Amino acid sequence: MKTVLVVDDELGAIEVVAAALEDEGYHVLSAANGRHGLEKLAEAQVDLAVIDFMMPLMDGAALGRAMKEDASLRNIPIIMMSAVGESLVRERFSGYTAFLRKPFRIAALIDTVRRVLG
Amino acid sequence: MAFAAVLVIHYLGGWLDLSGDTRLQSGFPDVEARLRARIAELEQQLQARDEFLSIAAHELRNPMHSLLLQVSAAVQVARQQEVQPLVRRLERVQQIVDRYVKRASLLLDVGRMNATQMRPHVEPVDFAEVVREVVESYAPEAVFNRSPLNVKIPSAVCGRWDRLALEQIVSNLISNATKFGAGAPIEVTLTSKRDGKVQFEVRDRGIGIADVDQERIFGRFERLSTQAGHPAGAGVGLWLVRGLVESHGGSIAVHSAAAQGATFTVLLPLDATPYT
Repeated sequence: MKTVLVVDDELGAIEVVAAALEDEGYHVLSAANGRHGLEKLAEAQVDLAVIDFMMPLMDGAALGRAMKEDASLRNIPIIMMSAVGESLVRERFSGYTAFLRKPFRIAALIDTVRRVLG
Repeated sequence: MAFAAVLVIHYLGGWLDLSGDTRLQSGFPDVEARLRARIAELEQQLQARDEFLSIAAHELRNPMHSLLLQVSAAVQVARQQEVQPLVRRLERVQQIVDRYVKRASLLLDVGRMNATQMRPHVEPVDFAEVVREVVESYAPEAVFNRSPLNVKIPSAVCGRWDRLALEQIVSNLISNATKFGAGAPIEVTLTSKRDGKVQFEVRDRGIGIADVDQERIFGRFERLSTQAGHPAGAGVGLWLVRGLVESHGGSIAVHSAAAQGATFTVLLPLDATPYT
C-alpha cells in the first residue's frame, strides 16, 4: 500500500482529501503545516506529498525546498495545491511534479495522484 | 515651492472635508477647478464601489443561505436514516459553511466602510456562551495543530453586545492562536472586571510577534510573514478585530516577544449601547 502525506492548514479540506485517498486504497498521513510535514516525513516512508502552498509557520514552498535539500526526501514526488495561480507558486518553488488549483474536485485530485504515482 | 505648499494644503483640505467649499479658495482658480473635478470623480468612484459591494454581498449571501438550508436538511435525513458516518460528515460541512457565511458577510459589510465606522447591533448576549461555542467549533483544528485549547470561563457573562461581532472577535483570535501556536497549549480566559468591563484573553506559546510588528499587525492588509515562507491569510483578521472591539467602546492589546508566544487582551464594556 502506498503512503500519501497531505499537508494543509485547513482541516476541513484535509478530512475530505484523506477520506477520498483512503477510499482509493492509499495510506494517508496528514500535517497542519510544513514543520509538522517534515516531522511526518522523518517518521515514515512516504511515496507522495500533497502540499498546500500557503500555510502558517512553514509554507509549501519552504517545505518543498527542504525536501529537495534532503537526500532521503529528494525523490518523493510533490503535488502542490493552491488557491493562487501557478505562476505565483512557480516563482517561489518549481520542484513539484503536478499542480492543482483550488478549489478542485476530488476526481481531479484522484486522477493526479494516480498519474503521479503511476 | 510655495505653489507646491499651496497644492498640499488644498489637497489636505479636500481630504479633511470633501464638501467644505470654503477650504478650497485660493488664487489658483485652474488648480482649484481641477482639484474639485478630481474630488467629484473620486466620490463617484467610491459610490460605484459601494454599490458593487452591496450587490456582491447580496449575490454571495443568497446561494450560501440555500446551501446551508440544503445541508441542514441533509443532516436531518441522515439522522432519520441513522447513517452515522454521513451525519458526522454533513455536520462538519454545516459548520464550515456556517463559519464561511458569517465571515464573508462581515467582511463584505466592513469592506464598504472604515473600521472605526462600524455600527454594532447590540442585544443581550451571554459572552461565555459565545466563547464556548467558538471553542467547540475550533477544537478539531486546535487538536490538528497540536495546540489544544485550555478554557477558563465563568458559566455566564451577560451583557449587551453585537453577537456576530463577538463571534468574529473570538474566532479570529482563537484561529490565529491555533495556526501560530507552534504546537503548544493555548489559554482562553474570560473574566468580569470590577469596573464594569469584561476581559477576554487568548494566550499562545508560539512564534510570537516582534516589538516592531505589534502595532502594525492591527493595520488593514498587514500580515506577519511566516518564519519560512509566504504570508498566510489576507491580513484583515486583526484589523477587523480591532475595528469591532473599538466599535463597542473597547480596546485590544498584544503582549509578545519573538519566539515567546503572544497574549491578545480584549477589554469591552459590559453594555456597548452608549457607543453605538
